[in-house]
Amino acid sequence: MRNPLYRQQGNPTRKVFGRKDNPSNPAAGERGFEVFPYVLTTSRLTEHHTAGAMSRMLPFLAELQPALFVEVSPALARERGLTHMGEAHVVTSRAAVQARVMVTERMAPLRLDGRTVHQVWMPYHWGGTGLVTGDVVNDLFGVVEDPNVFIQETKVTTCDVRPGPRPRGAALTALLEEVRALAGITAATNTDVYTGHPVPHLDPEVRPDDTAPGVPR
Amino acid sequence: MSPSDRPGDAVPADPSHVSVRSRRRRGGAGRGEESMVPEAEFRSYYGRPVLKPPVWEHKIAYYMFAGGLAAGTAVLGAGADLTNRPALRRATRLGSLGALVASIYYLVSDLGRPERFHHMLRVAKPTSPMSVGTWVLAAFGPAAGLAGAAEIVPDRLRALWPARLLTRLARPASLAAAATAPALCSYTAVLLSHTAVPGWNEVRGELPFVFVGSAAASGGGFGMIAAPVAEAGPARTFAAVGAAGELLAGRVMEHRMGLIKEAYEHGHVGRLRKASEAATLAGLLGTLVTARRSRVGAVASGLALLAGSLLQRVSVFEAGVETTKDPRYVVVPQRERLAQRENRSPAR
Amino acid sequence: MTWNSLFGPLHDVAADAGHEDPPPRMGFFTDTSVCIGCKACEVACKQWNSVPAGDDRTGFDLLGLSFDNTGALGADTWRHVAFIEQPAVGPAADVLAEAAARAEPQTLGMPSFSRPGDGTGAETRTDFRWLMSSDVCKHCTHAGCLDVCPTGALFRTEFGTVVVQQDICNGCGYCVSGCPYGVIDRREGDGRAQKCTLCYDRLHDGLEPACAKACPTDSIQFGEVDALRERADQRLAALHERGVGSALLYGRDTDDGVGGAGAFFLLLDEPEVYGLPPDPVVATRDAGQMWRRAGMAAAAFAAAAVGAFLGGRR
Repeated sequence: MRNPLYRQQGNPTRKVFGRKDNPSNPAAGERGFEVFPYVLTTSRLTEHHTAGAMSRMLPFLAELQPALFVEVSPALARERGLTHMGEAHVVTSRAAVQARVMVTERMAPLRLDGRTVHQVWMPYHWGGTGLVTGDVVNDLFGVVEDPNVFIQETKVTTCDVRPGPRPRGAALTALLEEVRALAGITAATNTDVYTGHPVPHLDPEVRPDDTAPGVPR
Repeated sequence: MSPSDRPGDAVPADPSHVSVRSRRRRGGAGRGEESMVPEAEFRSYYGRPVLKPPVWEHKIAYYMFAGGLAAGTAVLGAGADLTNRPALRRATRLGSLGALVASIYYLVSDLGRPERFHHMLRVAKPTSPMSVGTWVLAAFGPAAGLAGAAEIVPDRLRALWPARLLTRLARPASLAAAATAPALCSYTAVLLSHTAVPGWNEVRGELPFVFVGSAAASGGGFGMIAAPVAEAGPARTFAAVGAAGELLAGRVMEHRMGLIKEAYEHGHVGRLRKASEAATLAGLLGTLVTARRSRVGAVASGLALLAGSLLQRVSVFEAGVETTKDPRYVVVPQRERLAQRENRSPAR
Repeated sequence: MTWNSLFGPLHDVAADAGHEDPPPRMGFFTDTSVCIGCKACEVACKQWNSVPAGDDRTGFDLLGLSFDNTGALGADTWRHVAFIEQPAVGPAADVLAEAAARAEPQTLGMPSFSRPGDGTGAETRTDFRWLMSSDVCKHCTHAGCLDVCPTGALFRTEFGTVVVQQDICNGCGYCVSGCPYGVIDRREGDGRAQKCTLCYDRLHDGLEPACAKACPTDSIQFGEVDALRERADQRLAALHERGVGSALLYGRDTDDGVGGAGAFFLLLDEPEVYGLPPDPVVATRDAGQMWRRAGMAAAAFAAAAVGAFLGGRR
């Protein structure tokens, strides 16, 4: 939904890095935006600590939150065929992350600009080591940094949610390539910092129509 | 209600709310009348149990059967001794000893720390039926053990002084066992009822009668199997009275049940109870009709009574366990009780 | 020993159990209206008492009960935090449908200091409510577990609490079936019954129990039971005044089926919503009736036996 107060949508001084290996999801209004129709936010659980490498090693904490889960609203679950406690995977242009589904009314669909926007939420404490393991949620985000201390944006993005476990190995790469091709992701996608002036911010020697590795032009 | 498999089902909306369930009609099916009891709607924590299921295994049910059998055969053994029925005396004293040994095995092996079984003897606690039972067994056990041991002394050793002492002690021991036998076969009902388990606690008024009837039926049944027809008269009478009592008390018990009736009537438990009733009834009829005339008939009747008694204990045990697994057996009756109290004296 | 040793209000629990000149009765008042669901109590308790955590076989299990992955109290869980999600039930509940019908944006409302659903009773709750509650052993005045323990392992401490002596318990499991709240259980692999001790070892040194110490909102309040009861009454009155009609005290009433609990609660909905029995009664209340019936049955058994031999010589 457009911010009605300003013509500029988004922080004009944010650091973007248009690179082949740093794809971003399309912005609103860009081609391919509908491929990732849901809003993903991430934050913390009480039981774990940041990236979880330490807290996942502790039995008393691991048992309190033993698995990565994605919270979805009942309406979204119906729309996407998700079952409570079933497996699902959250997909962005960068990665696919598998999580158990938590269907809850705390996730409320929003009504913006005359349409329904679903939001989902995940905690980001999981990784490959420890007593409890899971996929790394922050893999879903591209590298876009704030202009002051260059902290990566890892809290909000768009995504798709699909039922079932995610593919692995070569099949995972194929899924991501398929998704990027569907959305027409290039190195220039969502690198326009100044609204209304479509100038992609690219790294040197990167061409605007460079696509992510493996994606045909 | 476990997390649902249907798409879109939430951590259930107001997850404490479980769908309305209606009470099943009592009595036979097809009577066509509306249930007179109101629909039982209740809330719970995600449908999870409120109580913990008993940690006891089926061994406890087998113990109750064996204990009842030991008690029933003990009184028969004492009576046979006093009325000059040596074959019956020998059979029932040995049966009592065997059942006693089995009882002790089942009891001790069902403990979480069997090597600490003797800790039961630390206290004598009237509020604990298990403590009461420990001391009843402490009295019954040696007595029945002595009486049984007297029967298995080999002939070539009988002249030795320990054997002669044993033989002399046999009658007083047998009488002591018989004196404690009624307590042995009735306390087990209190053992089950003196718990929070709805399926056991609610039938506390009738269960003692079911169990002693079962004990008598099994004791008499054993006497009919192991003793010749000529001497087994008292066993037949005892068995018949016990079986009739077990059946009657069982029917009364089921008639007076509230919600727990569903646990007793449906599924596996329901089948066990029907089988128990059928076996006991068959045994009763056989005792009355054929056991007096034919040994074969007596053995068949006795086996049927033993089977009925065993199935009785197992089905009651399993019914109780069943009632701890569904929260409605706890929540619904307690809610009703609260509502009744509130009606009588409205909330302050 | 008077009759109310077994049932009904009992003023001095420890003295009734035989302690001479005991200290005041200590217990918990758990005010679930301020619980934030942080589970510090669960962790502190396990840490202090060396209660085993889950492993692959038992404990690392996403249960899907909102944020509750512990499930219930048990041998390996002596404090359990429950989470209950309660959507709005009032007439304005289906805001989304309404907004869709009018093709307008959904009004999320301005942030306020009261929580949604606080201001009105349950029936008119207009917004989502998330209940959180830390459950624990109730340390009943008349404890079902204690009454049926045949070894004397379970005993009443001088503080009025109920504790299992681990060197005596032989794992008979009677206490497990004796508890009307489903608290105590036998530990797998260990064989003995385990439950909250109200940190008996800490009480000896004048410390408060680990869970009370760790609780950041003072939802778990530890102290003398009489004082806690007074405090709870005041808290309940305050909540009722504010319009939280669904608030109630659980286990506070000494006239209830267990004579009142040493660890009692302020709940925001009916007990069964939290997994608690609405009207628990200690089985000992009916002990008299049970033994009388058993006596009658035993007498009938004896009479039948005697009659069987008197009924003729054959």
